Amino acid sequence: MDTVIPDPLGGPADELAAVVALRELADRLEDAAVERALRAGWSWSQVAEALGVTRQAVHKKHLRRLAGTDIDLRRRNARVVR
Amino acid sequence: MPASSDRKSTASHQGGSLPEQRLRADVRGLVQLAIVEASNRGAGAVEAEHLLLALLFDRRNRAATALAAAGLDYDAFAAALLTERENSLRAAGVEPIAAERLASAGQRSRTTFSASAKQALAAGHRVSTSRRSHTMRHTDVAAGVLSSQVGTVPRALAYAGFDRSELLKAVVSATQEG
Repeated sequence: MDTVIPDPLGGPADELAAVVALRELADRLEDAAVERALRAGWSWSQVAEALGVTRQAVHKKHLRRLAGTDIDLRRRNARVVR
Repeated sequence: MPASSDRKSTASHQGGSLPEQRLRADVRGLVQLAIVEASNRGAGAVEAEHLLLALLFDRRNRAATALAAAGLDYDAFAAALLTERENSLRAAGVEPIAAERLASAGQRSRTTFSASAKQALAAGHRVSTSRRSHTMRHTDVAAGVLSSQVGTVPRALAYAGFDRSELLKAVVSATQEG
């Protein structure tokens, strides 16, 4: 049986690559946006609500990543009083 | 590293679920470099393209020499990757977003290896065993990465005008030189 060698460019290859590129872009946008929100004083709960996920999910994905930065993550459970 | 970044790798890297037994000392160094490349680029996992970037960054190895002779060096491939991502986003009707808007601090404490990286290393391992070697060399990894017919690496090379099969031949013949 002949195996079709697909072209890496055009047609289905472009459509599949668009999915890959969008996923990567969404991940990087999320990393940057969560960090900016926390720096702006948002709580983990607020970030989670805005993303439409649970606070645990945001924690799991971003807490370790941001733990070594200069963002103060200790009081993030408290409601921000403005 | 030439890639723009304040996200230098200092985290501990466990090697994910990579088949460690396949990796000899010099290729382990290459994998560490690929992890840094992935981290510098804000990638969530090490992909095949990060292995190729790592190979090209360390210009002294035989694979990088063979690829440079064919016109593919670190800067050329990095530019090709950027073009591929931009074109792929445009295929979905999305304009690329400025790098500064995507910048983020910190880095993931656990490194994961994507299917493309694992597949490239497995293919490299097959190349090394086919020449009855117990040691996987840089040229084997390069051959493994370049053996993929579809995906980010072949797309980037195609956009930049490289003939992937010619590059593959170049690294395979460099492998056979000893």
